[in-house]
Amino acid sequence: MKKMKTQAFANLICALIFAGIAVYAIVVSMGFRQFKNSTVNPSVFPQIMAGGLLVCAVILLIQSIIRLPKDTTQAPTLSLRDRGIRHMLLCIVITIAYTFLWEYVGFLILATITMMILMYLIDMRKPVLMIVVSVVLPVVIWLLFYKVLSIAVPLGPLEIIYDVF
Amino acid sequence: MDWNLLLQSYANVLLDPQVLLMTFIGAAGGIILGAIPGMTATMGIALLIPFSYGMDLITSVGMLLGVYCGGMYGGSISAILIHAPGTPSAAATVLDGYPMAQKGQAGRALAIAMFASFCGGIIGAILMTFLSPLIANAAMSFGPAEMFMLALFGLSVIISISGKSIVKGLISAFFGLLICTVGMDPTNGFIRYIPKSAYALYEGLPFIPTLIGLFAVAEVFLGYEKYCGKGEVTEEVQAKVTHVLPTGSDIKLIWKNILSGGLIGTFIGAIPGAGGDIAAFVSYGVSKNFSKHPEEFGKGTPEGVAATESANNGCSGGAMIPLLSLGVPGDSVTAVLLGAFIMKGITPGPMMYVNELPIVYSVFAALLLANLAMLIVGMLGVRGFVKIISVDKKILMPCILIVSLVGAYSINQNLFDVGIAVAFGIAGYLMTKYDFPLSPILLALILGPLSEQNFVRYMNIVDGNIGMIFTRPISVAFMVAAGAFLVYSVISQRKVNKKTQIKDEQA
Repeated sequence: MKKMKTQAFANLICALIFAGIAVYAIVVSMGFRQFKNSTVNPSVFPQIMAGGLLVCAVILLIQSIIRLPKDTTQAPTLSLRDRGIRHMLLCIVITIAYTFLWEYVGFLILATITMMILMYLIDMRKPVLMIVVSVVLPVVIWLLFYKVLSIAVPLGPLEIIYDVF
Repeated sequence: MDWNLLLQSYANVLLDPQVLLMTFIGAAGGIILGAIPGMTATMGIALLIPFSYGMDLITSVGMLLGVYCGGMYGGSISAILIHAPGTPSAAATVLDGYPMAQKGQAGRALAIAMFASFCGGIIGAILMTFLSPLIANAAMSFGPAEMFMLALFGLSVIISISGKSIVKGLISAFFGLLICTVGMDPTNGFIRYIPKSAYALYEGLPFIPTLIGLFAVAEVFLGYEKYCGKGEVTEEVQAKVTHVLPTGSDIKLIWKNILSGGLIGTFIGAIPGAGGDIAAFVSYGVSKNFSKHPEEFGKGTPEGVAATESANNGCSGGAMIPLLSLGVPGDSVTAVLLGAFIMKGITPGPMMYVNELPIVYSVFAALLLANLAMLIVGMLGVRGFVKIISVDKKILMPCILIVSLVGAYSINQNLFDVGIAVAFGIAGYLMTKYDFPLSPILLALILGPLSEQNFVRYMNIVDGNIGMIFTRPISVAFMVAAGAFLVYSVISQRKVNKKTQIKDEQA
């Protein structure tokens, strides 16, 4: 097995990412303002936590380097050749788009469309059931939040409903 | 203690049809609300306050306590069934509740959670009745030094919830503690790691959207990968419920965890600023470390569910102790309850035990009734709740995503929070995929701000002389306990790993 596909190599990459985050946090915190009258300055806690993260990341890095030559455990893949990964990535893209469009398209319309797409994406092929669930669930959620919990979710072009109800 | 008055107050509350009805309605509402990710018992109580204007005090307190106890249990329903803790207090229940559901034991897990919640609540109510002034005094001696050490003690649980790799658990925890420092620093108001225009992050990362992202949204992404993968078919999860209450053998297995959880929950609940979320994690860590088979924890053991649920509901009694004895609310729910008392012209505090003793006893009885109502409503609902996981995953996954994102929005009614949930959903997906446990991040998010605020406050009080902390007995006790717990956890986890390795090799 290629060493780059082993769990030890995946751990090594993860360790480098977390070490990078820790170093970034320490470097940025060095620029935090120091208050003369304060016994604990704003940079103290972040530096302790980032220091702890860095130490643990280095330990994981060393462990991974030691294990790498002997390791035969396959690491989980993020390869686009895997259909599951492709669909998961599409799900993430749809979720991000959903977040950005919510304010403009509104919850009822957007949630209905998103649910239908997501169901199709996960291989649901029963059109009637898909339509019923995609329409009923957002309406029930909206009614519950608006009428029972007094939370008005953005409805975009359907905002007029709030005037009617 | 005036036993006649106590019994009379209990009889008045338990035999009053209006109190009974409103408490049951409150418990049902609390369970439903708690089961929706993002909705908390505090929100439910705040919503019901206007409805309580026209009721007499005990009826309204009964209803509000019903919501409180119902909400505590309700949070575990979604935690067990869909990996999305309904409330922060149910976050630790995910650790064993969800694996139990995946093994086809959803009904058993729900029954155990409900029974443990009930017992924890009863333990809290009993301790509240008999030890209220004593515990209140102990809780009030908690200053910043003690709170800081309590937070450190809570963090010592991290090893117990780290899973196979202690280093990965610690990385998750430090990562969580680091992201806690994003936003305004608690003393000087300096903005850390974000641009000054990012107002939404001034108070740090919003906890509930982060929780929803890490658990519910990440689970949906993992589900898409799994079910759309190489010919993977959505498996049917068995959702048959044979008992709505735990069996005798289950009770024999979990009674110790219930007892310890109830006691831990009551004590932690009594400390202002500490709540069910901390109690549940501490109780889980204690139960795991003292278990004969700690290797089963995290894989779906009833003991884990019982330990967390009894602790978070034990908090309901604990949080009432400083409220009634000293007029100091132990958490956000009791802060709202304090408002309800004041609205009715009653000011909780030491004098309440002198001037308003019948009301104090009636509140004790109302808490007992609220737990009973939660148990009965929960029993009626178990069969219905369990049906959720028998729904086809192709329908369930999109539904979980939509409900979770609305839940993330609802807490502050802010679309930015939805973005936070999605971002942490992606982070949670990647971390789960590469075996980094998520629970330490959650624990860090709960305890990080508490530890920093109290550390800075204490250092300001003692003018930077950290050594002064050793002159405070409670702080030293917590420090020693945290150290001992940490060492014991490391040894215990190593044993667990060895056992698991041997089992794997034999398999």
